[in-house]
Amino acid sequence: MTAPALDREAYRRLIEDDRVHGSLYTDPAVFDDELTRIWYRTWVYVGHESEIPQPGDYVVKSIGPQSIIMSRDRQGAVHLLLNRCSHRGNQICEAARGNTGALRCHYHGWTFGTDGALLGYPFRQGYGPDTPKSALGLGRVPRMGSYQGFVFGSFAHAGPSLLEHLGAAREAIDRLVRLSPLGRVELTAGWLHHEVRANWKMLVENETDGYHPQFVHSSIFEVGESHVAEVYSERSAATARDLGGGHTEHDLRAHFRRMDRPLAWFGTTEDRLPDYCRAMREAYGAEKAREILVEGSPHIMVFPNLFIAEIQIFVIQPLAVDRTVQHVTPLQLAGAPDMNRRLLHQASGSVGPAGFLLADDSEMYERNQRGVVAREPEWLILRRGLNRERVDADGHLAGAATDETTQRGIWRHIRAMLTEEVPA
Amino acid sequence: MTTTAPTISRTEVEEFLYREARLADEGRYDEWEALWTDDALYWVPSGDTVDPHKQISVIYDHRSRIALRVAQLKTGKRHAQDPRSNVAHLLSNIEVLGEDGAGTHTTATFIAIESRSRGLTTWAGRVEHTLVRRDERILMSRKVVRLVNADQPLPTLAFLI
Amino acid sequence: MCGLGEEAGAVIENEFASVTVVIDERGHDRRLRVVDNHTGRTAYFDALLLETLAWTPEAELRGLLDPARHRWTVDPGPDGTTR
Ligand code: FES
Ligand SMILES: [Fe+2]
Repeated sequence: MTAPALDREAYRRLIEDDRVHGSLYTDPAVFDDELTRIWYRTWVYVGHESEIPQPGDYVVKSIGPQSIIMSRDRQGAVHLLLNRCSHRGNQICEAARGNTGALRCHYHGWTFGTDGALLGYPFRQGYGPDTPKSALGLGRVPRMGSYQGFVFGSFAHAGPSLLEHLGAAREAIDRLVRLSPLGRVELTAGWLHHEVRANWKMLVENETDGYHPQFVHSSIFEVGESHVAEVYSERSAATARDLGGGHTEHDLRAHFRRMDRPLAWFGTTEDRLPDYCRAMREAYGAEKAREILVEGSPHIMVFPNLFIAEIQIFVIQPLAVDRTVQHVTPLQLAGAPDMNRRLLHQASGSVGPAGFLLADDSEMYERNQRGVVAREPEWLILRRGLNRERVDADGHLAGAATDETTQRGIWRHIRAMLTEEVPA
Repeated sequence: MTTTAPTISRTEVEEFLYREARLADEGRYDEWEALWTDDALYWVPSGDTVDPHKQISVIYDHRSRIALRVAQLKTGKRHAQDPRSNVAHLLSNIEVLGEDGAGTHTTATFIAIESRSRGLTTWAGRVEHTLVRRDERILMSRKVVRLVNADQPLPTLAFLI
Repeated sequence: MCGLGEEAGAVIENEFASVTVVIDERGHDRRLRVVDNHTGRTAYFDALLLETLAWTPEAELRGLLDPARHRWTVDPGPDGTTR
């Protein structure tokens, strides 16, 4: 049962340039519209190629509530298949991951290649010669694309290419992978799955919100060895940037350039990671390596669900209007074992259900969700920094570290998608 | 593991486990922290954790990080525990598995019911302790909490489980 | 997982199938014994058979994976047998 869709005019009314209506977080009809007009249309991040390194490897991922099998077939090609048997709809994979040359449905034994093709069904006499086997493969995500190993899927048969969709976010992903001396990230350090009773947009908007950390994270800033607190203070030289296409960035480079100390962004120093720093110098040359290690890792929300958060990768999965799962894994860099140990150690303190940071973020998402049901006032105010917003050298809207330039950028894109003013 | 008689009796084990759970439930953070040895490990694996040095855990706290966790709780600004969750731990099926150089190894099942504005959350699983006697006191050097739903999406877990 | 060796079986399984593989030394040459753990069905694969499998093109392997090809060929009879 789906609630009736809202017309375009309604979204133009509910989403203004500097304020949005509370019902956008609570109305099931809005959620259904978001699934059809955003999640089942635009490019959505699914998984990383490093999660299925071997032929036959597969992992179960998602696009919103849809369960997606990301498989590597025996020839090495990657596929995005819907986790639903084409016979009578049974879920095919129950395990979260595995290795197999074929997928056999547990219900009646229909068997599929890891490319989704139907290989056969038991007792074929029960099907006449007119049964079109070739049309009975597993459902596929119509379009698949990959950038730096990040695999995206789109349920739209046509539309902008993945590269067009990523736009300015590509450069940030490039900045991420260059932290590896081999130029590759590997998402191989396991996942935490953190469920919150909040609308998915609460999470997306929070990811590049530079206004909240001083308040939400003051407990850990106070007791921890926190190099982060400064980044989010009024003294920060960081920039909140709207990259267009719903992608937003909290660009910390200016801040760390001013500090001019390699690995300051990671709260450590070069002598603690000698192997990593040597490998970086060998890979990029001393000067470039120093620049990379000073500037650090990007903090970017790739719309609608991939949050590259410096030292960990989050994936946002909406399940219902007030239910969202945030999947998170520590960043791992190819060719950097000593760095990877520290990345894992730091991430497991910070993120997930018990994380020093994320437990408090998620508490805020849930309180925010309880707050926005109020009838009065009905609006959320997104005016911060309108008075000092500028267009930067690349033509992007940019604000101060604590400005709501990012939230406005996210909503501009959501409005364009819900009113179907932009292609997928 | 050897089969010599444990130097920590079953009664002492039970008293320790119940007390540890009660101090956590009542938010008596300093007393709870004082139950740990200096080389302690507090570990809540996730469904993906095979080797905690290779895969992320829900909690993987050595002694200094246990102290940090408690210090954060005590700031009064740990929103996920401000207000504190109301929690009732129930321990059962306690077994003393044996003793070795590391201490006395115990296992038990637990249910912890957590109440906060979000609603009631049921946490359950198996808890393993390694207990040692230091200066007439019993301390824990290792506590592993294996959640039954470690492989599933988990709600926020900011109380001391 | 145990290493391969006489009677030291290795279980190879995924969520769809489970077999035990043993290097069998009872013949004049070594061969692989494969036991379907769900049914007990056993088959032997000598060096030549394995080499042949390694050379079998993907399309033919996929043909072998058709469940009606050799296994579930005929509908269950009144007695419920499936073979
Ligand atoms: S539903 Fe999969 S074989 Fe019938
Ligand atoms: Fe935060």
